[in-house]
Amino acid sequence: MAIKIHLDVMLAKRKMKSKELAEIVGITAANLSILKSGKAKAIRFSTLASICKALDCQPADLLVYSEED
Amino acid sequence: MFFDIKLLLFNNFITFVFVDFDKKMRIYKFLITEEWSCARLLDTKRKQMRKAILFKTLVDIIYILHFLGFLGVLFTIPFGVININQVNSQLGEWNLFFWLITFISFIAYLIFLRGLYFLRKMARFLLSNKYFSVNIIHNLKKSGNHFLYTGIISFILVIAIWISKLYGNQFELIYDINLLIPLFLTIIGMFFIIQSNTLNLAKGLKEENDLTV
Repeated sequence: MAIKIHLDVMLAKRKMKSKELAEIVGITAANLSILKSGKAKAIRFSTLASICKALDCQPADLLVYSEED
Repeated sequence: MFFDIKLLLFNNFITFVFVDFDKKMRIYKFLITEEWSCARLLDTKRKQMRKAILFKTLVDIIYILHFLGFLGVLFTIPFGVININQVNSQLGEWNLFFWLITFISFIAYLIFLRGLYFLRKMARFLLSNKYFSVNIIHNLKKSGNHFLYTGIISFILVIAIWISKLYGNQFELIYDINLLIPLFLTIIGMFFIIQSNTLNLAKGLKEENDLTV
């Protein structure tokens, strides 16, 4: 995927655990793991908004575009 | 007394519409509870499972019967008890053309048996309730391809026999099962191929949906 998600970086910055974030956002830990590992093919705006709210950041802090090899 | 009663299912609501003889309408709307919708889902799954089991049993029966028939043909050939459909001639009178027709029919039958084998394999995977699995898609496609080839070969054979009759100064226009079965097999084969392609597309969409967070 050309879009990379830096969720683990943001989690480390906020000193928050994945489980906590999953609980706040209201998604399962499995789904959050899919998101973290970069396996996710799409993300709903509502989920992105919830994550941004929980981590107090902007979507640009989480999503990065990079050229594929 | 009511003139008409209608039941509608929409957005987790079950709606009863009663229309009496004065054409007055009464609408009752009930919210379907989670337990109820779960029970309905389970019931639907059970019905689907029952159908899959029935399908598998039927495919098994047809496969075993055809396999026995195939063995029967193998055993009867050495005794000379064989007759090509539509051609009323004894084995001793057969020329190269009839032998060729028999040989090609035999190959077509083998292809059909292989198609049935793949259908049986697909039915086995169907019991696991994984409709979008690669095994089901591949086996369905293989089965469809085999049925399609059998249908085409059988249709060509029917035409070849008809033309051979023309050379023998016989003109027959027969509308019977010998012509319809190859056509039906071709249609079924094509349907299986289209169905497998559809399942393949659905698998991609399902994957995308599953990986949407």
